[in-house]
Amino acid sequence: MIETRHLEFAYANGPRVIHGVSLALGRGMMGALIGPNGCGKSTLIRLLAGLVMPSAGGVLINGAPLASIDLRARARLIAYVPQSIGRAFPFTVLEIVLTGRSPYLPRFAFEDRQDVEKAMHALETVGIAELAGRRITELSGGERQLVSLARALAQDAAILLLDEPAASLDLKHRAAIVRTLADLRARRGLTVLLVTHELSLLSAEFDIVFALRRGTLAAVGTPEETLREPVLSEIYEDGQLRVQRIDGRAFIWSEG
Amino acid sequence: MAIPAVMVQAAPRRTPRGALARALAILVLTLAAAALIASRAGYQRIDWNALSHDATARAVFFRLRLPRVAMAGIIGATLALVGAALQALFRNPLAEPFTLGVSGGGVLGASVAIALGWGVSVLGVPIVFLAAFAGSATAMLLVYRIARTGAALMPGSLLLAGVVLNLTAGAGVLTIEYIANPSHSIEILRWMIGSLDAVGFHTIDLMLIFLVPGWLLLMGASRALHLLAMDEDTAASLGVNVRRAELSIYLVSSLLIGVTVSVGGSIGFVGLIVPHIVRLLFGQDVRIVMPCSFLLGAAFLMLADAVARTVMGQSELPVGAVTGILGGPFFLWLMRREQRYSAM
Repeated sequence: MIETRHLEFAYANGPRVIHGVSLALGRGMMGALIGPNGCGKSTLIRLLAGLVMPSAGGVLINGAPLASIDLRARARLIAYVPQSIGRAFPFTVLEIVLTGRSPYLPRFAFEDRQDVEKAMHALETVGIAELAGRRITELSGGERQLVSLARALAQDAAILLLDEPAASLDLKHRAAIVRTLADLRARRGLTVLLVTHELSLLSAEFDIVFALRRGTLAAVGTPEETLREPVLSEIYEDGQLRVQRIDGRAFIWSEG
Repeated sequence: MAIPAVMVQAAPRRTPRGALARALAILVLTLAAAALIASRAGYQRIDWNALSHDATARAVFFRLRLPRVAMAGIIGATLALVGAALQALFRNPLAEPFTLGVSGGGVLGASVAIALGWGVSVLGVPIVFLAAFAGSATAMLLVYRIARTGAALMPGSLLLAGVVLNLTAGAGVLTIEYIANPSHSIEILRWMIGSLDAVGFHTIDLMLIFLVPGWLLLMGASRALHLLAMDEDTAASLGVNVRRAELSIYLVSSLLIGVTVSVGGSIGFVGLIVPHIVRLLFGQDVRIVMPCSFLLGAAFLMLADAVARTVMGQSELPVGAVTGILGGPFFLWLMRREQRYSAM
């Protein structure tokens, strides 16, 4: 279980980005974090991952303050998938995914065959095992996002936090990523929280949607409860938002 | 998302440990060969048989040649190791002590100490070592502060800051040279170009007291650097204390560069050329690149110094001129190549 209590965050000499956010995501739940550009979604997920420290309030993992958990132990509990993956050096895909095993290695140890197999399995799970030997600099944006996801899966953590994992993916892979996450949740009891602008991704597989507006939590509920015109119009401050449901899935667009 | 089994089997299967063992074996042999060639080469070529009965040959070999080859090895290894570390830390393949102005800062620090005649030691540590360390650390801090904008590290700003620091430090050194007395000026000039002449085992012993712990600390940070080379968030989310790792790598790198600069001067591009050759030969894994750069750096500077000693006949070139002539075009080639990866 991951929760936040009265979370506050401001960048040094900057305005407050997150204000009084309290939320909870139970074990094995799949949640989404939505909201307009600049509302603090990425900052909030980075706070949850422990990448930035709150100005006030706190993040709790299974009841324990995140700040009190040793960094390597934390890396075995929480895996984070950033918006983009660094490519200053042409690492191979397998080298990148193998780094997901580093929280489990003794100080001066290298990954062994079992770790390589786990990394290959993670690549298989996201459907890019054939890219294992390719260089990250040769891949498309969508492929790089899948590599980043595979590394997080190789990390074998109970909580998976993803910052717009589907942003560069085509329609087929967007659907596939949600299916993969739902499947992992069902099989491994993984707790998943993802930031997304793609509201049509939020199918019935999601248990809960958190909507942020200007750094505060503006709405919480199931996709059915939150993906409605009055709620979304308020969150996105857009009176022209339209929602249509087809086979239980919400399709949202703005006429503005 | 099932995939054909044949594709999974086609993936690389060598573990990083196996790759490191193979690379180290090759490079230890390379280093041994380089040491032999460099020990033999010189205006006075060493005849191995004469060492057993000719006192002059023994004196040339043990008092002049061997310490010089050892010094080249030690400085080459240090520069290449620090280059590999800085490239990973700054996620910039063009970073190295010379291009970032860290060596320039060290030379400025050393020049101030020489010009003021601070030839003394404090607790056995020569003031020149400390002054060069202070210069390197200040340059490193400045480069870092200029290149970092909030959470992001700007690769282009990093190199520009390095260029400006080098120019400023160079102007500072020239000014000091201009106003210093002639004997100090010549000593400073030697430092600026980078040279390995006139060293003995005493200097080597003194250097090793600082260098060995620095080498071990930097090698020990290889895994953190491997993760930092991917990106900062990745390293942090995989259990690296990013701020602590950065700080310790700055301090250790500054100390290592300060000590090498205070003895050998500013020998450019070793930290650029060597890690890149290692990557071309043995891949990108920083945990492999670091120890391999150390060994190849030693071999590289031993051979570069052998060229410096022999290419002009009786007189010799400063080794910094040899590495500079090789390194300049290499830097430009690399810059062009890296632009394709949009690393700039």
